[in-house]
Amino acid sequence: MRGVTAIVALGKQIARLRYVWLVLALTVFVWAPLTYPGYFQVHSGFVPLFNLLHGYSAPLDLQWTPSVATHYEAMRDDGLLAYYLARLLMALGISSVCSVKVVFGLAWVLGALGMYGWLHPAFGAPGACLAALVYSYLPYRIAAVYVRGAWGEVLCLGLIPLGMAAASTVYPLASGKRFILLSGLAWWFIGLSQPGLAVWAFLCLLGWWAFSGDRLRRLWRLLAAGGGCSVAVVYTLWAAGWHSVANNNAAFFEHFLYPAQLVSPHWGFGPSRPGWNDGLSLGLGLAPVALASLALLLRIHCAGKGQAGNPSPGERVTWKAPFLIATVLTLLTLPLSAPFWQLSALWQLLTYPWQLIGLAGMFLSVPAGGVLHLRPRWAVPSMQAVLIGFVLLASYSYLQPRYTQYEIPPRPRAGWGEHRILLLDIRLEVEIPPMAAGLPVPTPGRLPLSAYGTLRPGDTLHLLLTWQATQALERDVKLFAHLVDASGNLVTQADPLLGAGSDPDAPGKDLFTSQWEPGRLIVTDVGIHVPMDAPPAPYRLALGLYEEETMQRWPVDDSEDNQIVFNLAEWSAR
Amino acid sequence: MSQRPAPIRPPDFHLGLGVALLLALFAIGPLLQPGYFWGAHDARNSVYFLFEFDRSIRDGILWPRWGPDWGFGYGYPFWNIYAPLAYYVGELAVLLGFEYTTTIKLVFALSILGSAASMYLFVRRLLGTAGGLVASLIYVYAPYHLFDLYVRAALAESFAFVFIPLVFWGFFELMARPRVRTLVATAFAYTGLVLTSNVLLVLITPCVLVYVAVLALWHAWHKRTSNGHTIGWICIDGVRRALPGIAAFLLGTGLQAIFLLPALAERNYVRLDQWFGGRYAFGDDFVYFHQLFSPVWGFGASVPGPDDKVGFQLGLLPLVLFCLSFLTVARVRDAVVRWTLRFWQVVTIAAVFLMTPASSVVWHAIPLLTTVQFPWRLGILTTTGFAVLGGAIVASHIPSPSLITRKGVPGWVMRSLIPLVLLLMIGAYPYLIAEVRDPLPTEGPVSLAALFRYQQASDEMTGTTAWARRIPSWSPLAEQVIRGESIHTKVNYSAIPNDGRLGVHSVEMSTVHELVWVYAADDQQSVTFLTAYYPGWNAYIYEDLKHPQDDLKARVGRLIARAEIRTTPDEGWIVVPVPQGEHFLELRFEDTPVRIAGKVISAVSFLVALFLLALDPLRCISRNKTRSASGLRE
Repeated sequence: MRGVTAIVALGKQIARLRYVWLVLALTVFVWAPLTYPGYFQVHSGFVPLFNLLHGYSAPLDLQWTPSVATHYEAMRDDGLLAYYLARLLMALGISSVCSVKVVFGLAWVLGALGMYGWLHPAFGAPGACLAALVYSYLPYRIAAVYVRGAWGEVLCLGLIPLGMAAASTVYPLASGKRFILLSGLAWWFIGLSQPGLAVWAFLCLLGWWAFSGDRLRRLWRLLAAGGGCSVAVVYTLWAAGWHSVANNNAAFFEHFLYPAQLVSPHWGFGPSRPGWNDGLSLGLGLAPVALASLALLLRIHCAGKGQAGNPSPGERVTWKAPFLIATVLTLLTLPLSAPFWQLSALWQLLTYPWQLIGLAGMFLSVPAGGVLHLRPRWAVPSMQAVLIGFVLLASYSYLQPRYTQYEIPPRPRAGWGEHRILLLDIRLEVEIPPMAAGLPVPTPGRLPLSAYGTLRPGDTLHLLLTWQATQALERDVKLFAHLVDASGNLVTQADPLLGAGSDPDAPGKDLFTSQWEPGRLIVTDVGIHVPMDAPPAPYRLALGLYEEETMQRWPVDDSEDNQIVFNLAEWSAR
Repeated sequence: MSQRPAPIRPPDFHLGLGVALLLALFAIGPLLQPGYFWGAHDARNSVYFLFEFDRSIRDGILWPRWGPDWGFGYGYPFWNIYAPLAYYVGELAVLLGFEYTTTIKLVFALSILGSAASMYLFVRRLLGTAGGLVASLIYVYAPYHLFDLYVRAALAESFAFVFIPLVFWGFFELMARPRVRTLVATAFAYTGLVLTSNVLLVLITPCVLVYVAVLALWHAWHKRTSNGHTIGWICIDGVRRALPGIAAFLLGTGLQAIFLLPALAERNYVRLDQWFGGRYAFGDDFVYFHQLFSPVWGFGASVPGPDDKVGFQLGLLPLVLFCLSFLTVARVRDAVVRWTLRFWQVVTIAAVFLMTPASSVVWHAIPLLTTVQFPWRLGILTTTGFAVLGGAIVASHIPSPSLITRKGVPGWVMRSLIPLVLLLMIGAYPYLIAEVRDPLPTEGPVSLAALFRYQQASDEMTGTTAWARRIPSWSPLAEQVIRGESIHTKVNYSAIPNDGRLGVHSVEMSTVHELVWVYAADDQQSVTFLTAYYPGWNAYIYEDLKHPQDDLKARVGRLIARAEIRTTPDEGWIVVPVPQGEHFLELRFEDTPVRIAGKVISAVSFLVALFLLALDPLRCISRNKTRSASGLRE
């Protein structure tokens, strides 16, 4: 009997949190792709994974910052919190890939719960649930994960609503000191996740505070938030080196958005390009804009009828705050805001101005959730189903990442162009000559060099090279592959344009480097025929990149050489 | 809060049903394109199954069991183990003159409308008109249903969608208001389901039995708490309450016996590895978690691993409504309806689990599940669950049950029902595509030659019986047809020695019978037929009357003996030893004792059903008279 009573009591507790469970359940569409048994081809490539593994080897080094295949910029790059969290997960036995994906998932779940917690006192459970879902399904956030792989920024966007809740929301039984501490802690985490964006989020918090009632009551929490964020920023700068603040970001001013892009349904995996032709989606999203507009109309309608339509008494924030903040943030992504950026020097905090879209979307989610508060008759299950269904449906088609089951190496083989092109893997195969197969005609088969043995004159060696660009490349680059003998004399060579016949979507078609999308895995197959009159083995293979116009070789990153060399004898012995 | 469904008022009932059918018409759209979607997974199977079924019907076999052209003409007892009802429906259209591909599309269209109607009727009974309407739309437009229609072109399974709601409606009524008519109707609905799809026998039957048990025990427990009875009493009362459901189940099983009994008893006489092994083994076809929620849609094949080229999504809007149902089910006043909805919540969750790799231990532990072949087939249960529960969202708060009142369309219809309906259809719109194309030479135009080319190109419809060690990849019969000739005999003339000790001449042949005249110089001769042996093939030796000379068939005399049948070691072909002299040999496919028993049981069950139906009005009259008499006395 006692057991039954306990179950009933537990059931009641669960039922009280039914909207929380609903929020968690309905975010499944956004984080389900993370459960794919593999990884994604995203703009950041495998760089976070390389650095995660690198950092895991020195877990107690407080001044560790990412350095593999990247030049770390303290304010603009992914913050350290994502790495710390992932390291914690790896310490529990989870693989590096899964740890990164768990961090992404955590960001989504925390973002949804944070929005719910932030807006529940104001809009009630249904409204807060709707707002949480609008925020979770922002196209910008989906792109940040599945197109850009910007895990620090994603984690930051996930934590900001919690920070807003801790710093600004008044709960009936809130203990003042506890919330001051929570506020400081939350904003410390936010600052650690992506310092530049965290500063902008704090500025938004200031704006929110300025419009809210009971400002004095919230002042200490605001100060704690500021303090936490500042500590995080200072810590990150100290770890990365103070010099990293001054790194130039001239390209910032080439990446403003055009108004059409804010409402465009375009979805792509390409990079951000100067001008209007960005390859990825940078819109605000149909659902947030539509529902926020609807909320605005309802609010005006309420005001016209003399109805207050205000949020519940416990939360006296006006409707102006989210609309104003979202509008300001959106305007800052447009070219007309360039003078402001120049004067304020705040562009140092971000890589691109459109990184504010995530914050703008968050503030648009607030009035979107307020729709159900303004129209209580719509809080019936069927209407909730319509609104929630609309929100999810608007972003559903975006949830198709470019998956890969490629086995990610612990670090790239080499990098060129300041880590803009990474060579991940090299496989050497030999065409099976007819004589070896006892056939009078050429055979289609190949053997790995390690199985074939020593390369001989007359053989055709195939280099299967796996590449990944981490940024958009402006020009086509050529690959040179030189086979040299023991004396260092050139035996034979191949100089194809990098990407010839390597289009992953159309096998056999060319995809040269100027067309490479960051994060996409490109496998090139380069054949080198060893002449019959070539001196015998051992041979060495030298690889490098160069520009055809200038014939200048690209230096290998983190090296003074302009080529990488492999000893084929060692390869054959594997 | 929900209200008890109002007594049926014809205008509202017809309006709801009419709207449900009208809105389901959009799902038929892709079928209206000229041509056929040959590329769909089972599109060719559907056409050629119908082709074979038609051949048997035209041969006068009203309940076909033998497929004469499976396995390159060697034959296969396909209809003995594969539910035929959908093909009966199609056959009606073929007999009316429709082409095979048009007929298949017609049957698909009927299945769409039928499933919309049946789900509407079921959920209307539970939750009212609005709930029924929403449920029917979810049912028709659910991704798995569209997948079955336009990606797989799975005729039997698509047609089975019609019967599932009818089955559960029947059992619901039996638990809520047991009546004789309901018992019979439920039995027929269950029979219809099983005669349409074998797979659903395995999936639906346990659900039905659990449903009946749950409701029966709930009723008994509820009564116990008010009357303070013991656990033993609860069990007994539970069984008593479940009796109508059990009776319906048994009656339905009896009605199905004509198919079910031989299908179960004789299934081991075919090579089961062709049904459940290789690419039909379940191990490679689990659905990965992310695939359940992915918007991916395609027409490719289900392949091992997570990169299938088809969509296995549960459906965004159905899932949203399913999640919201956890907020609304508790508010449903009618306890039986509430428990029905909770039952479907549990079934849906269980079905989703069984689709995923995490459930592989369950699949290995329950051998019967292998008959389902592909774990993603449980999408039929999730689709049903989503539909039923989706209706609960609307029904939980409507102020009035009617879609139209005297004042016009109520506000709640405008505010929530219409937007929800529109959203459901918009959500499914991108998936309303069928890949119509011209047939490849290995597919059509539909003919026996095309059937053999299709078998060779695809390794489909090449089933063999358990007596064959080697699966054929071609045959002289197929060769003959490809050359433009027709098959007049299945005697293997290449096995007849050239020394004149054996002579065979085919007199007549049908899909299940061949009569040959045979001369044997001694008792060591035998005739080989290019027919796979299966129980039911019998050989009879008749006397040759020798007159008239010009009409062999008229010379068939009395039955001399029933010949023993042997088989060739590798192919499993029928070999019949013949006695010395001139005789007639008839090879005939007949009913085995199991099949006869099945027919008898079905016939008896049918008579019982008719008897019950006839009895029911008499009982009503008698009950009314008793009540009237009581009233007069008072």
